[in-house]
Amino acid sequence: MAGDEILRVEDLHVTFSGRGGDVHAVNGVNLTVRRGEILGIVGESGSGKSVTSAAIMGVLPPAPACRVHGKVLFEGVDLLSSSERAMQSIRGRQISMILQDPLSALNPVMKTGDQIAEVFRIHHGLSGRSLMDAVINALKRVRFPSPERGAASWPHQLSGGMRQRVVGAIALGCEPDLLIADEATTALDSTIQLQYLDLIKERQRIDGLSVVVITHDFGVVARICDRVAVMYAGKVVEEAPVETLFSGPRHPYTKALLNAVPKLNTDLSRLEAIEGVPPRLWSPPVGCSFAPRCAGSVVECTTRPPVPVAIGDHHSVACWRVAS
Amino acid sequence: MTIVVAARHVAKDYTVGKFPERRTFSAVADVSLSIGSGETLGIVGESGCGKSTLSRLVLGLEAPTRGEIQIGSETVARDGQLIKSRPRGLVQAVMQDPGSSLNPKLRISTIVTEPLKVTEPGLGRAELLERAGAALDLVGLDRSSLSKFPHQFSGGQKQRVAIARALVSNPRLIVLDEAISSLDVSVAAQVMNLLKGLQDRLGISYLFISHQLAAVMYMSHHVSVMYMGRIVETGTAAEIGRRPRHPYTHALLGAALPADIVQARAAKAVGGEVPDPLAPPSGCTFHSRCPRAIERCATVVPAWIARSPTHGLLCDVD
Repeated sequence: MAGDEILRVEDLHVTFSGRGGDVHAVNGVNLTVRRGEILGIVGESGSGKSVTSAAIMGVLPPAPACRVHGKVLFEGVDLLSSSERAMQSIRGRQISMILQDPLSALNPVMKTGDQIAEVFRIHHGLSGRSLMDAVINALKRVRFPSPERGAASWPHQLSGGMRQRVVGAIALGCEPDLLIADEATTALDSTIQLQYLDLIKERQRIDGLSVVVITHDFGVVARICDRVAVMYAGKVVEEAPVETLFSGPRHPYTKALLNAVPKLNTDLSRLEAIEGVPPRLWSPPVGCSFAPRCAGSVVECTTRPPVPVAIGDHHSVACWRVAS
Repeated sequence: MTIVVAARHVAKDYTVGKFPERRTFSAVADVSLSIGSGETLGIVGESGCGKSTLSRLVLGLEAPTRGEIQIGSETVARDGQLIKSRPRGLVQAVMQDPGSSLNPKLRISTIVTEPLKVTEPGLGRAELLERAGAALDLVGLDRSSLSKFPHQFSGGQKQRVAIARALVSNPRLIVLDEAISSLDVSVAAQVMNLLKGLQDRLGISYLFISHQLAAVMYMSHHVSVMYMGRIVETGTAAEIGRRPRHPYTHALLGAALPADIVQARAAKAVGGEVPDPLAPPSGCTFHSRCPRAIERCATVVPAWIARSPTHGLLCDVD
């Protein structure tokens, strides 16, 4: 593993056992995150993006309800074969996570300052005055206005944007090496979302933080990501530097998805919607998962799953038609 | 063009807290609007701006504390009262989350025909099923769906069921309150195209409420921007999108993140957050965040300035 890679996901498979049979949520995902890089994972519901992030954090349900295969190499160590004890010292200190809804991420009956203090007590053994200072510093780092007052408040007294800053203060408190932001700004208003994204970008620039941004929103990707992986039905279908992906998307799904988003200030009488619905994950199609919705599918698409091929600088696509 | 819905200086006050800390605030402070037949009025604004309260007022779910609402030529609410004899079924709603707006225990046939039990109580079972089937045809769902339950559908299909339920009473206006916000990108595009197609065919009007600016621009003929219970700017989609005049509209457009690398990276965040509605700033409520604010903005409530028959704003600082 190259020294500039902080995270490498190799051939990750996650299968849930359900009443209707096995659900193949993640089907052979390969990803790398370089040090100090922001990787975006874009996809719709059921694409496996959040399950991938849960696998990295080691927070999936235990077997037999959920079976995980493959490797998640963080700084060269496979997290999937690490003990729960080892994971506990990694989570929150080296890898941390921000989820969509701050109201359910925070404890409603605990002051925000005490919740932030937990990470410093557990990971750094701080107490007393130094603990208080660490809490205030963590709030300052996420640009919380009047941090002293913020620390003394209850979650319900704060606005959505401020609650998410508290979650950010907890996640970034121990200065982790890798942050996973899973739809972290989806619930925020546009002006607040932008402030928050810029905050993450600032941590990347100043601390060299590596980030995995999981989102359904190409606007978020365009704003802060360096590289992007597009997921569909549990697989990465296209991966490229952000500039390349926006200027020359190659996978039919990526193209269709970009066309399905309304843009500002374009006179458009009709959006190009993608017809059909994503495949059922308990009985995925034999060939390419996107083939049933793809306008240009050929016979090969329905018989064999496509493998990712490199088509340019760091640009790879899993599509038979692009490959040929 | 005939006016389908008109609101004149409507306001809605809520009282919160227990004695002795009871306080009253205006979720909608003063809003006037009108929607013509076959037209879409889009409302954009951040959470807490009053856009959902406005939708509840238009739907007749609540009476405005002040002001008057007309549906067609009939006054349906005036000064704190909903008028009892008001016509029903002319305004319908599609809400954000079809997972919770459809009763999981009812079959689609029951769900879709429910409005008719109020608006046309005399209909027999065969007629009800025919009307429901026709509504499903309109939204592109198979008639065999009538005997199914909501859980048998995907999110986008459930939202189509909700649209069919809204259509079944032949309304003149549908209030779409964040109706596409919980849908996936590809599905949201399908639903938006469906709504536009229905409007072309049926001449129906929409009040399209969303926090997604690009979606509002795509769907709407006219767009009104709300901030702290007031419409601060209104205009055609082109006027708002290309020649916005109000600093808050500028801020909203500037903070939007379109799927475009140049535009998304040029986006600029306006400072601060929406103030506490219990303690709104004096003068112009946006002055605390406004980059253009001058001294009098903190004291003088701005007057409405009409720039054209379609374009107006609540700011006179240039």
